[in-house]
Amino acid sequence: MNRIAFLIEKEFKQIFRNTVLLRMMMAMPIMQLILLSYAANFEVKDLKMAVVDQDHSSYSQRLISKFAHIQNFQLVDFPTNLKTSQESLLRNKVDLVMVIPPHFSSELYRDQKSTIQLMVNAIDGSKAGIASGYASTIITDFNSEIRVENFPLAAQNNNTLEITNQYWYNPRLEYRTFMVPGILFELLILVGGLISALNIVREKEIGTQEQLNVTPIQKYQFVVGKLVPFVVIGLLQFTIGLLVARFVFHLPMEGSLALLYVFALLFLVLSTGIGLSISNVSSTLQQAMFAAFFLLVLFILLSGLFSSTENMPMWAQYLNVINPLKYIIEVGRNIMLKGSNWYDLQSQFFTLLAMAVGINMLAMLQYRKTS
Amino acid sequence: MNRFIAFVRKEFYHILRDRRTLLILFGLPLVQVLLFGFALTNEIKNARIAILDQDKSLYSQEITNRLLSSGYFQASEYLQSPKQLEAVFRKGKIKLALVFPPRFSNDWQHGKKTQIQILADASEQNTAIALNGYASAIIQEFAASTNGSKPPMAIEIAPRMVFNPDLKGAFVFVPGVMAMVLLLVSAMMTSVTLAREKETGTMEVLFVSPLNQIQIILGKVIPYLALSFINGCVILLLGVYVLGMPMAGNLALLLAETLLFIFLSLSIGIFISSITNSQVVAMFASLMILMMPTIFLSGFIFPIESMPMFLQYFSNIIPAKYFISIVKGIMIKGLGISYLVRETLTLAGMATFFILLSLRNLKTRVA
Repeated sequence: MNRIAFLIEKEFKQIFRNTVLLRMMMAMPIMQLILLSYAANFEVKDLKMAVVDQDHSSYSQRLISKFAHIQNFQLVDFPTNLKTSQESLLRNKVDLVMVIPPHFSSELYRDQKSTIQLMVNAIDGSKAGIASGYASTIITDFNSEIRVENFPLAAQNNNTLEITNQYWYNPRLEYRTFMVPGILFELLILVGGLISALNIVREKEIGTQEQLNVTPIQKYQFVVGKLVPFVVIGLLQFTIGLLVARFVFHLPMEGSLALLYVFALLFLVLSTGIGLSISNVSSTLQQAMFAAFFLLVLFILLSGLFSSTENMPMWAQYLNVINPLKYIIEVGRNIMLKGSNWYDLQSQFFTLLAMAVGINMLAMLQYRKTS
Repeated sequence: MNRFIAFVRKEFYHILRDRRTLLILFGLPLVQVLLFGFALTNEIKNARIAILDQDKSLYSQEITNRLLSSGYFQASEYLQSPKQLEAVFRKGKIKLALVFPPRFSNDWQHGKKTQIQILADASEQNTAIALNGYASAIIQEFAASTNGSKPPMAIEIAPRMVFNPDLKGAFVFVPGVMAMVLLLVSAMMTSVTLAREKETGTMEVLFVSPLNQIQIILGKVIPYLALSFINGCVILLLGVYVLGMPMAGNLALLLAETLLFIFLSLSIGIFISSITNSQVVAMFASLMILMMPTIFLSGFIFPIESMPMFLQYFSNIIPAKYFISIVKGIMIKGLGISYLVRETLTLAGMATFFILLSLRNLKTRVA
């Protein structure tokens, strides 16, 4: 037991002497949290719009003025023909172009229908979908307005079926609320996993590994000695992250804080184990770094941090069975936003526990004093 | 010159012999492009839902059937009372719950106002919005089909998705992944390699050789230029042939712009290594000042226009932003150089800036 304590003391001293690294380790999570929660926003606003009005009737004017009064749209251009409007799309000057056909209002009176064209810059497909959705809603609104004016009776007896929507756990649909619990845990694996991956291999590179090898420490003592400092630093980092989430972003904490910490602890042991395992099999820092980076990118992209895991194809879902980040992000969202308790999260707990034990056993077996 | 070539060749061997790093270098872009292309879809199918039918009539059955046969939803739970709702949401088993009020069909048939409730788990906010949209549309379609009669004075809307009619996600992420991988290989790897030479003391050994400083740095950097360029081409090929990106513009122009961006990344890498002697610090510096801003602020994942003003200004100093807009412009819109002058000049200016800066740092080190 004493030996482990000395090892831990040595690791802490090493970490605290490298002040640049320590500062980066502490600054990175805060920076990422703040960057993400301000930058990560799929809200579509300030859409730049051009209108080609080929009708110049009172109806087309009214429709245009409706757009002018909506904050989401900025009318930037009124080209006289389609050609110039296409040029503005090419030059990224506008996001969408609304084309009102000639004889728009006379068609509405005569044929009872007319067509408005929307040209949307769709390079960013999801943004384009939302933009065209907004514009369609406004046009549909306008449509029912003129319908009521002209046919006051017909419009009334429609639509007695109402649909009410409720968005639970995130009623204002803030992207931040969705992201932050995921980010908190992603940071643990990013910093805990990456730094521990560099640790043993660095001792190999600068030659201090040999010094450890001549001491009487045992495998498990070696691994535990490496594990504890990273877990402690990770928990500290997690606490900072939680405080930022609570007091800067006003995220709810519906469930039990203790349960969240139990999971954080378990997950840190697991991430550090992954890092140590990578470190054990690498011979240079560069190798360890890229291996860790590769694995982390894979874990993060598949974890459901950005997009729901259930929509992924089957092969990706099978890969996800061994992705610890997937389980812990579920846990984070469920505890923080929904207030899930121990009974709701048992299966995730035991899966993560099995992974943590497994990977740390592996790290222990890989450590050899002989070469 | 001969000496220099021999030195470059030595560096090449050095890199090619580290098989594992090489594998990851080429595996990483491959995996990223394929994951982004096939796994990260926002397409929704078979989302699990709960149904609380307090009416149990033909109409509520019909609506349920229409939802379940749409392919978007699958029934996971049939609830008996509103009290169960919270528990199933908390378990994380369902994404959406559909609640029919008692006497729903009765009210509906007699033209009274009646409500169907859709409850969505918005902790996954984008999915919630999409699911809600699908469910509402299906129910409204049902309401319209039982209502009959066409409305007068209908304005039809014909949306046309210009440049990307199938709304493929690849159009956004292929240029983004390309920028990210080029930065990773050129900037991060060079800065770490150079820092390694300093840390292990072998840089001093090189400096006493007859090669001058600039030749040494160039020699270290040229292999990475080649590697990055090959990587960039691999991503382009995957984008075009596997993910169906168009190649509307001039290929030579695109490759030239790619080289310019690699050149800039290398100069950033050299700059980072000129300010630190430690590999780990070089790595974290590249991660923090290059990778993270590139991922979050270049418009690769999150649209720049949605960010607050100060971040929008900040995004102007992120090189990847310009490169991404160049790649999109050339590949998708088929733009020529006359449209891209501003972006190209900005990248060239940044490269000059970093090279001058690191030259200055190098000189002071020797003095």
